[in-house]
Amino acid sequence: MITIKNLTVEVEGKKILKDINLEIKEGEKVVLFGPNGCGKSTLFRVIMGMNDYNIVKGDILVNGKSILKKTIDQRVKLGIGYIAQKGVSIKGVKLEDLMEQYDFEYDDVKKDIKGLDIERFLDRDINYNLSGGETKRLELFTLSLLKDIDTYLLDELDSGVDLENIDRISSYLQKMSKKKALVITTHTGAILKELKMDVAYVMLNGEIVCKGDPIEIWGCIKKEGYEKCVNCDRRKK
Amino acid sequence: MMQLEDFLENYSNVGMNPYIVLNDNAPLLMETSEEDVQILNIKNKLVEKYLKGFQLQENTFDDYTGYLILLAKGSHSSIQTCFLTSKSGFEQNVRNVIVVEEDATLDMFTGCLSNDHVKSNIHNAITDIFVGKNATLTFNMIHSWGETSKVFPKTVVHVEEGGTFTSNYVVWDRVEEIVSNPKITLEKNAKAVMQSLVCSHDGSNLDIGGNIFLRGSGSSGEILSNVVSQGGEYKSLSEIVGEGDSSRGHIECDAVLLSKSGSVEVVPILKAKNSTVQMSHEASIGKISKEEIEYLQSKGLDEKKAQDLIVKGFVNNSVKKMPESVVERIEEMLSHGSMF
Repeated sequence: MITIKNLTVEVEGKKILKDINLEIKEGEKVVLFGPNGCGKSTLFRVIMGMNDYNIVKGDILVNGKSILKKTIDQRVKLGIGYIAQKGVSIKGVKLEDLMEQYDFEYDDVKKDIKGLDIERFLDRDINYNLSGGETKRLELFTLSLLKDIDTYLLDELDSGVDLENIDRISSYLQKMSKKKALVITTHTGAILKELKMDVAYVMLNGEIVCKGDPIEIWGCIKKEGYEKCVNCDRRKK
Repeated sequence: MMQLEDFLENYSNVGMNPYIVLNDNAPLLMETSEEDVQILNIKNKLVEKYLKGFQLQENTFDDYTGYLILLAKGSHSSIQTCFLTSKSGFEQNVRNVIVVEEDATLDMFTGCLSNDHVKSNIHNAITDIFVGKNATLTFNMIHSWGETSKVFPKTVVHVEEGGTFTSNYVVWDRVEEIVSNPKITLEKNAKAVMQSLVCSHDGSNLDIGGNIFLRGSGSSGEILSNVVSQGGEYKSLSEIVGEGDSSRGHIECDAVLLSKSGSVEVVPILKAKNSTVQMSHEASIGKISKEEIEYLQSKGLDEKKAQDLIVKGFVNNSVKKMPESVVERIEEMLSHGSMF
């Protein structure tokens, strides 16, 4: 379980996350909505310990223990798996080079390689010259290599992905995240067709401003945009 | 540093014969005189006869060893050589000449090493290489001198019309000093590629560059330098001079900085002496990107493992155009645990 308490983060003196309070329960499926630049990706990166963000207030706890002093890889070992919005490509580092870093047999992951149709990427540089959908499939595969992940943080897994890939990614994710907590962000809502989420939050300008039923909130955003959220009566109450 | 036994074990499996070892300044032990390939002690009286008419560098050594390799017209061969020093403080002087005649193809695989107990040795070399018309020479060299060794090779290469000279030069183990700036002249439609992968260790002083003179029309030259800086002083002055019609030159340097100390200095010089010449250069020097490290950490790797994997990627990328035998040797060097 991940608990975020009163989290406030600054960059160059400007608050980019403001007093965030959020609890991701065991096995819970959470979707974060919000316009570009509202802080969704930053929240994920802060949870992972990336970018040396200046946390001016608050805490992030995993199963009741603060993780603020943990390195990124230590956080992964505590059960947090993360896929960024954009995959990073590293010249000369092939997917199979990364696979060698883990302790498993090829047969153990054969099913995942087939399921995500990534066999032809194994001997290519990671994320190099791949389409949006291919990158997301490769990234999902790298998540499958990590053992004992309890919570997946997936940032815009459906952006830049065609319909065929959305189906493949969604059904793989559904199986992978069974009994695991899942936090996703989406701008297109495409991934929500296959994945049943438990709860949705709306972020605006670094704050969580709304919580509710994912289908209901997404319907509202689709219809009236985030303008509606800014002036929402529920929020004002 | 590599032991001779390790060297023989690791290098002799690349299937190249004959095998030449130059030990200290002792004369070449075994000479070969076959129809297609001649390997002679450089002091053999026949050498003068064979090299009549060739323009050679002046031999400034009094006490020296060395060989003449002469590959006959149209023949193909692979030859391994090894320079070895066995005594501390010893100054090895090597005078070598390689002649690859018209339409012939030669793959050379050269290693340099000193025994573990050898300190402060010096290796001087004067090498002349002649690549004949439409001939090909691929010259692969992996250094494994000691950390107190100083290495000063002077190499001059002449490539005739349509010939190809490729140099793959790897310095991964620690060495005190290297000054190596080969000079290559290319005739009509001749081609030269100088690729290097160098690890600049703390305390090392490396000056590794080169000069390609595009004399003939349609000739092309590339100097590709890849550097992993671990705190040493590295300098690369690479120069390509374009004189022949439609000749092409390219200089490229990639350096990754792993240490706060040391320096990497890259000086590319492109001189166009003809309006039809095409020349370019690219350089990239910097530390490993934090984004890449964090990405791999998010895959569960600790910072050290992430860095090692990125450097391994840099190395893989640097050697991808080198022959399989060189790549295999490098992979083996890197497979022994941590990169450094």
